[in-house]
Amino acid sequence: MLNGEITSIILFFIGVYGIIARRNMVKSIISIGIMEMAIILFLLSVNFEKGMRAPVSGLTSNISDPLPQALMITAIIIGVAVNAIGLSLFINIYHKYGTTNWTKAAYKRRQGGRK
Amino acid sequence: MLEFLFLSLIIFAIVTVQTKNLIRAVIYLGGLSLICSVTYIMLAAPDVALAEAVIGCTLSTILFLVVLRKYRVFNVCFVYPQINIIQENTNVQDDMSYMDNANIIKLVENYCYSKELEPHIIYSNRYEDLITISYQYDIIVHQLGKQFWLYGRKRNYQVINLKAYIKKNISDLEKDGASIEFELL
Amino acid sequence: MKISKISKAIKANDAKNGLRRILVASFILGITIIFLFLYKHIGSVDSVELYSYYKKMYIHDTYSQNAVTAIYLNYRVFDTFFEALLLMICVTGIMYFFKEKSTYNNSEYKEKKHELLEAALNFLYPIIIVFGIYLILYGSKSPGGGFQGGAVLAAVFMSRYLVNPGAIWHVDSLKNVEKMLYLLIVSFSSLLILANSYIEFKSLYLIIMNFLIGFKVFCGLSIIFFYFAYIDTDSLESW
Repeated sequence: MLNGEITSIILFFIGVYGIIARRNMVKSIISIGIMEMAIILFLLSVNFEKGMRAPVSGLTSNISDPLPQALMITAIIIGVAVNAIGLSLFINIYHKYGTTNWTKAAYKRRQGGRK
Repeated sequence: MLEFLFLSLIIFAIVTVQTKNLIRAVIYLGGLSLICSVTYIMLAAPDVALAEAVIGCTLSTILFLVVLRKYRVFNVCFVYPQINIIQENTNVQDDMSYMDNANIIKLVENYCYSKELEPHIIYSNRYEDLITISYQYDIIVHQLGKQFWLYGRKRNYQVINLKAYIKKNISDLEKDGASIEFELL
Repeated sequence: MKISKISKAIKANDAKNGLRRILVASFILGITIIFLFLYKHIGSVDSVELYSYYKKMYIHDTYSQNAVTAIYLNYRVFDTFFEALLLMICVTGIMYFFKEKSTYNNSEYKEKKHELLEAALNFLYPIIIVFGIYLILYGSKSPGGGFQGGAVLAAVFMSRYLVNPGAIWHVDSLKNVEKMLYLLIVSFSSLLILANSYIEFKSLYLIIMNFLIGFKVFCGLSIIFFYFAYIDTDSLESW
């Protein structure tokens, strides 16, 4: 009943829920990580059939699709870069407004910068 | 086997989003990454599984933990009563006596330093506004004359430790005639 | 006395937050169900022709035993360019956000030396280096390649940091090395034209490109880690 595509759609919307409902900045970055994992899982499992083998060591018959795999390796590296940029932004905002909460930071910003 | 892995992926994702403690959420994210890596091996993609295990599970977890280790804050909200309420209800005349809160603030700060937390104290006299607009304080101290009320959360283990710490060191405060009540919500 | 007002306000605020979360959760649950329903009716996308071409021809075209390496070093090498460029832009962005805020002498951590950890990591880190180089070298024959090997090599610096947090590392030279490596990757892959006409050159090309990408990724991830590890909290703009 559960296959890769259905699981990845559910994981993606769990990440969306984390971004909307949680007001902590670190939680938002973690939710972006979950959404990214869901997309990788979707693209890897979209053309997969049972009994396929890995496309290594010179196999040519009945191998899994190598194109999404090559793209997803780069996506993982870019994912850790996105995490690092997000965390550095978090540190800057934290030191300017002294809070980890989106609503509170926006409130303090409207009040006129630092406190 | 694959169905079991997919089910555990969904469960781990829900637990990661729903956890209150940030360090626990980061550790759950690392576990989610590891299960994802096993799933990629089952989907016949060993290269992606290797990259996910090295980068997603280890490197980004270390980055999160390095950031979280440096920034642990203990939010304290210190609430003064409004002047007119005081004049109605108590027989204290001198306004300066309300500034006499040094002892309890020092106690909270000492607790924070002993646990390597960073105390972040906010003073206010409009408690209704503060609590409804900018919530998420770890502890709220309310002063009325010589009496202090402390409100904290039951699920926050630091608050429970702080209660024990204050009970141990209460003799300094009682010298001045102050009394403390602790309420866990 | 107005004391009970505070606890009442906290409880009302909790109830409001809980209601908001339940509303958002039910809304997203509805969208998820709609998506699952649509997905079941649209079906998946087929790329049969490209897949069968890659399956048949990758060994003949690239002399690589690993189809994934064949794609990201030969068929779609421009994707690899832009991935490396994006990592470099990310490093530049982190340097901008932490400009002149990171110092290299952390005297507060000098006493915190764990002897057991130090002994274990001193034993382990030559093994990590050998494993990383193995992944890069055999990336065209077995699972592995430049990205994974570079990430494993970046773990060496992290373990050195755990052993000796007070040590001073020269990150500036790593930045220059990273830029040089990116130029080398771009200029060397123009030899791809040569590689496609000379058969003897093909496997050498794969190994050299893997090494360049591996060291590029290693430099980028190490710089990111050191910027995060050595932020000085006192020199940042205080609130």
